[in-house]
Amino acid sequence: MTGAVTGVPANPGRALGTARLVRSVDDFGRLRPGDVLVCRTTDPAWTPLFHLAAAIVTETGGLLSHAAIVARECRIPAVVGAADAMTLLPDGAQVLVDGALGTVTGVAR
Amino acid sequence: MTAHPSPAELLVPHVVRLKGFAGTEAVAARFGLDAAQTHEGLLDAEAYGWVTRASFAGLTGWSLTEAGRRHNEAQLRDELDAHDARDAVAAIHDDFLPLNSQATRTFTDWQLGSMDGPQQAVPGDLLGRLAELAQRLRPLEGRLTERLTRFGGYHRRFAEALARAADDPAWITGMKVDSCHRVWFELHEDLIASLGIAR
Repeated sequence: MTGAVTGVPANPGRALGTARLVRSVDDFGRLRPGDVLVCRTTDPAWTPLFHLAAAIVTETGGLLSHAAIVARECRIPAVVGAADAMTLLPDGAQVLVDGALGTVTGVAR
Repeated sequence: MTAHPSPAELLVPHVVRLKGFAGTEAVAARFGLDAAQTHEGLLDAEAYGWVTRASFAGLTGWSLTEAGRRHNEAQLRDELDAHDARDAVAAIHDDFLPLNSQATRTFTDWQLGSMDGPQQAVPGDLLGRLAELAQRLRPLEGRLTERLTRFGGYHRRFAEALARAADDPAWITGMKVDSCHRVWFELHEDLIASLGIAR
């Protein structure tokens, strides 16, 4: 991946982990503890994943979204409204999420 | 106009949608259904591929599959149409949206204000804002339950969470209790699912 994905900084903190692109409930089993959850949006079905993920990146939403509110409760860094995150972040890539800056950057293994 | 009670075949998968992830007992408790009947209903739904049992972070529960989500929305759509309730629920959803903005703003303000010290006392004006939301939720729920009884209980749960919040702030946005945010978000999900619209 080149450059950084940027979005709305929704909960501060930095986390390093494997980007896991999750498209629907049927993909939930792919997320491993410590992964960075990358998805379009979240709703109540997604809440348990926040307890496993090291950080969350969503393509939609803002400071007031479900993902932002739940990430704060679970104390994990969150970047929301990061358009094209699912296109730009390769599944399985090591990424650093900065929830204060609102950035997601690739990290060489 | 008579309020319509929904059948268990609709309610069981619908609870899984509303809760997102829940154990059998919690699914039964949401609408006061019989536990054994609920268990059977979940096993049937599993056989149809509508729900799946999963374990996350040491918890085991049910969630809807994508097929289950589509099935649930079809059931809800048929129910609204059969009882000529679609226009009324859509109008109520329109009235809900500005309240929803107010609610999510309040929850976010609380979270951002409490980040440095989660045990701090809840400011009186925040409790006042939540109390105003509770007050406005009551007639909105009343309009919903005139059509479908399954919409009942949100105001009571929200008011109970608010009553506890003054002493324990976890009841505002906490995930482990039936907090104001969880109740509010469940109602939002209920309206979205019932109308088959995207968030």
